[in-house]
Amino acid sequence: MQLPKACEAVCCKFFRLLQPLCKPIVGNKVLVQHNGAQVFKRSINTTQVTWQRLQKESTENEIDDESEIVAKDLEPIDSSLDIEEDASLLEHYINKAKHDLGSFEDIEYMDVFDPNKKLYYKMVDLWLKEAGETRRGHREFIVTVMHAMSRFNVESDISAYTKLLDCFPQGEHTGLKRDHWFLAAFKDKIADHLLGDKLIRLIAENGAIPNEELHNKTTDLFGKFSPTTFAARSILFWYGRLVSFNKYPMSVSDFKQLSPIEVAFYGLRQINPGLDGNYQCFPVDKTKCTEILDAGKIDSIISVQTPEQQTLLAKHDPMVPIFIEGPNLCYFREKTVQYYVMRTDPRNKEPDTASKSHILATKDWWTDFYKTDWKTDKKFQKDSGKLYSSEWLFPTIHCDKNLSSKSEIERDICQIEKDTEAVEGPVYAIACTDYNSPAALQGWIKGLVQTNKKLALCSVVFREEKSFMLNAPTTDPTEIDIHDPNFLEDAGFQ
Amino acid sequence: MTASIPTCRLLARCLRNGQPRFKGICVRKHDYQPLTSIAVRTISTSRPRNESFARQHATGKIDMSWVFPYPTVGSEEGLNELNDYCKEVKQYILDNVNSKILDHTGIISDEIMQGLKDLGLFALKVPKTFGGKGLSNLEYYRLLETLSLDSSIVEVIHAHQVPGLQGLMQFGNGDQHDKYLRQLASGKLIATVALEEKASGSDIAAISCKAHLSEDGKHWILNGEKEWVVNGGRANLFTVFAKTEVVDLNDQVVEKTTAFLVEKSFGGISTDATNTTGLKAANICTVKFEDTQVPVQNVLGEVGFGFEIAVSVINSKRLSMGPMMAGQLHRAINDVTEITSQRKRFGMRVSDCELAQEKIFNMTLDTYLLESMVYMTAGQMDKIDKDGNPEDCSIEAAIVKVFSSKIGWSSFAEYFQLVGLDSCDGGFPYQRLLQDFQVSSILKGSDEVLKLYIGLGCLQHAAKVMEDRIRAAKAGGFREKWTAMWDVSRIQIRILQNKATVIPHPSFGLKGESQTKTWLDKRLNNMGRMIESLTDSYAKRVFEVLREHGKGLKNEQVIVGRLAEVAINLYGLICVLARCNKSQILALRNADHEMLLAFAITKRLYKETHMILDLIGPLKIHGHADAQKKAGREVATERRYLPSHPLEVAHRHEEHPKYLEQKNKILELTN
Repeated sequence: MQLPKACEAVCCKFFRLLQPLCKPIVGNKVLVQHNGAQVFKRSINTTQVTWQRLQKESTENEIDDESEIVAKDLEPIDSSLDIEEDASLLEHYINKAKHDLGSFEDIEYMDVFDPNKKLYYKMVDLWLKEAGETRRGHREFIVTVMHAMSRFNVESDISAYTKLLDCFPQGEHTGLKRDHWFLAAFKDKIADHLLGDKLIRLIAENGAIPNEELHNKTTDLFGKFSPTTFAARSILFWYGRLVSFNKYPMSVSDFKQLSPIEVAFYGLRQINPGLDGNYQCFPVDKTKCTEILDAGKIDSIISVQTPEQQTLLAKHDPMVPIFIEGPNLCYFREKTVQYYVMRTDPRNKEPDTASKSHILATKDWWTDFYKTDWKTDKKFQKDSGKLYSSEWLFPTIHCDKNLSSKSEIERDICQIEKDTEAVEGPVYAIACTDYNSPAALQGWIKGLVQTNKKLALCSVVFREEKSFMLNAPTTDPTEIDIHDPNFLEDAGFQ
Repeated sequence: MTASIPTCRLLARCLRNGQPRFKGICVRKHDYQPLTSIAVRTISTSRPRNESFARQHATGKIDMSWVFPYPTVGSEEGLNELNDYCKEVKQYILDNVNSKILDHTGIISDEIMQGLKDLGLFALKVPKTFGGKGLSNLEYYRLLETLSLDSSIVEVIHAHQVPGLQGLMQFGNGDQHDKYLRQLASGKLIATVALEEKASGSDIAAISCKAHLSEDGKHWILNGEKEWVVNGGRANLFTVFAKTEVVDLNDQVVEKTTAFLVEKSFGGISTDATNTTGLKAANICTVKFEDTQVPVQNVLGEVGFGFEIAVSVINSKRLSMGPMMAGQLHRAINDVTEITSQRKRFGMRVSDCELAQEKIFNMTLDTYLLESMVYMTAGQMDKIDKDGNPEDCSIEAAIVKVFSSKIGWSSFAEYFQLVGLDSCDGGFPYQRLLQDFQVSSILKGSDEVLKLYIGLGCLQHAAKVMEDRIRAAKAGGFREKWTAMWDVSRIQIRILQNKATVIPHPSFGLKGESQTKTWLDKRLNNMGRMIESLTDSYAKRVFEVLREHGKGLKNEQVIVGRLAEVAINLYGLICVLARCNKSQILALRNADHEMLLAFAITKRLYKETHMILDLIGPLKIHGHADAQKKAGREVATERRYLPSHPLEVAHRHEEHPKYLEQKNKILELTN
């Protein structure tokens, strides 16, 4: 690159801004080609010198708003990465960390008991040691580690992420800081900021608890007005609120350890909330059932019923059938839970009693004249209008219905369509199982009868209503030949 | 010399104000009757039911026939007789009853029981014709105050007299009276009520005890379990409430409450004593009925109408809390002044410290207030209207109960603070006072239920009276609104023109016609005015609340509870005024001291009540009702304490840029 002297200062600025993006990519490729640590070290040493020199120059010339021009030339990070190459980079450091793990410096990780986690911190420390002050190749390293978080079981540890933030070049003169709102107004897409943003999104996805340290580090690194700090601030703001909204927060690593039955339990708790819910597990009679399930499936029936549902079922009219509907699908993170609902149709309005019974004229006359009941000659009670008083301890306020100022609002509402009519009847119980046949679900009813005697009198109808998710085509959409006239039917559409 | 001062004062007052002044001390006719014939009472008022004194306050009315005169025991002879009797009872208890032993063994021995029977303590409320003493309510509650030396004995005697006899006296027929009342008076039979159950508590409509007719139709067969039956082990006659099936309109079968008189000899009854924290000798039991055969003649009232009896029973048993507390607080004040005057701290007597005196003053104030409320209510309970029905004092009795349990906690706390560490070493009277108070206050109905009962009762009456005014204000037309306003102001204009024939309410006759006609002592005029203005603003608030919520008020429990608190304060104020007025006019001992107390009470409650009224007002800035509703609901649904622990997340504020910024600023300012 040969340029006249007048342009040198400008080029230096350009180079300074491009440097964090371009240099490590070059260095990375060198490393991978030779596949040796020594070569990598050497390349760091060479760049370190140039980097320091450039820093000195850049302090002489202040930059204003050239960052916008640079932003167009940037490429997204992922496209420039080769996953296989990164894997070998990671393997290299893991091997090294395994080798060094027993050393005296590990005293820092005394409180980390999981060997995988310990390995993680050791590995990052090793990388920091080798990368030096400039942290050359930091973005490649961070992205690779971000992909491999689950391997070390550190997904829900916030300290693992803050450790990754240490891998960014630290200090005042990195050029990453956006401390003034004016700089933020240009929305320059700096690769490190985008990466930081991604990192924080990962924190939110994995359910690690954000803390003050995260916020402080991002403000130190990227400045108050960078997108990364915005993201950090927003998850700090939302985390507590989302946790309280969720009620049952669970970290990713905890979720991984759940058995299918536990997943079903947690799913049921969300579907049928209530602290008094009665959870039961009923066996399935496998002699009657023809289905054969895979290994990881639920082969029993996990049922939930709240006391309110139990009382509703006790009041159920035996003449009306009860339906078992399903299977429905519920997604619980990446796992699915298949459940059935036991319910009935909404009760129709009762026919008018006035049209049924014929009122005698003498009876009318009697009650009007004597003010007593026709049959028993007893006086009517004032409060209930019947022969016996309604047993209510508290005095009742007798006031016209429309007299209060609040009732005025209710009076203005009128029903235009029958949209408020009850479409669904009451739900009596919900169960989770991976069986699909009615024969298997008989075990559920048998189990429920022990606590709900009324169920023995009712007729239970199994109504198969597959959810649209289960009806979806099972073939890969990329393999469909669109030119074939019958492709829809082949794919499973009807 | 000392005797002549009151007489001088009286004379001076007579000269100043003339004869009408003496209206304040005129007593009703029946007050002159001797103790023995109290059961036959004269007619004093004819007021429809559900329109009692405390209910009328909600409509801005104070019934002067309640306030003047403050009720007293009729004649001087009767009073002397009563005082002698009280002295006798007190002496007996001091000589024979050792409360420590009673608590330790948990039993009142047969000797003491026989002694109580010989004194006639089991025949107090039984009418004279059946061999009882036939005391009026006023005299009865005076005796309870004396008996409060030992609260277990009070409970046993009260459970026999009032709730135990109430159903039989009020609803029983002549045969039942003949059969039982004589035996009850002699103490051969001991009565009690079995009402509460484990599952229902205060909700008396939800009892699960059942009764059905036998096949021959001669017996009712009773099954079920009752809890918290006072004196259950010793009692022979239970008033039991159970559900029976009855046929209502359209051949509908429903379960309604029925009351039975069950003797222990009917069989199938087993009792099991409960180990309570307080009232240990009151023999509180769980009573089990297994196929107990009750003859048809022993049904109280009619089948299916037991709920009314149950309500009257629980209403009647509440008032005893008041005299019991009053007696105990009397003794506590005497005790604590003795202790503090003997003890020296920092070179001075504790009783000379102003802060200690403040505590003693608080106790005195509460006791004075409670006493005035108790005897006012008891006196009014003796009144009988034209139809021969007793005055409906259920709201007032509930007010006394709620108030006495409120001041119980605060006064005992002050008492123990003053006694100091001596009250903490398992000391006999102190620990016992608290435990007995705790049990008896819960036994007589929970405060929140009673508050709702008071508030809704007042609002029910107010809604009936104010309905026309609300409707007129709601109607919207200018003409209607103007009419409604005119209706209100017309009365006031008539007063200004001195044309009024009726003194408007609320009024002690202080404004309007003439100041000389009032019955109030002149020094109490100021307090009278304060109470009038308070009643006015209470009525206004009730009107606003009714206009806003109407029928929906039954669901607004916070508002109803607050209105009940106002009703309690107002009732207390009026009682104090009436009592203080009486002692001023009669120039009783320490009348000036009473004056000071009344003055302090009025000032304090006036302020307190206005604060409560502000909380339910239309301006939401005063209160926290919404926050309270929402936060309370959240905790109740989650069933745990919600806020995170203060140390839950490591908070590195020292690294926080904002913190550093502020720190620098502070440093700059200080340097």
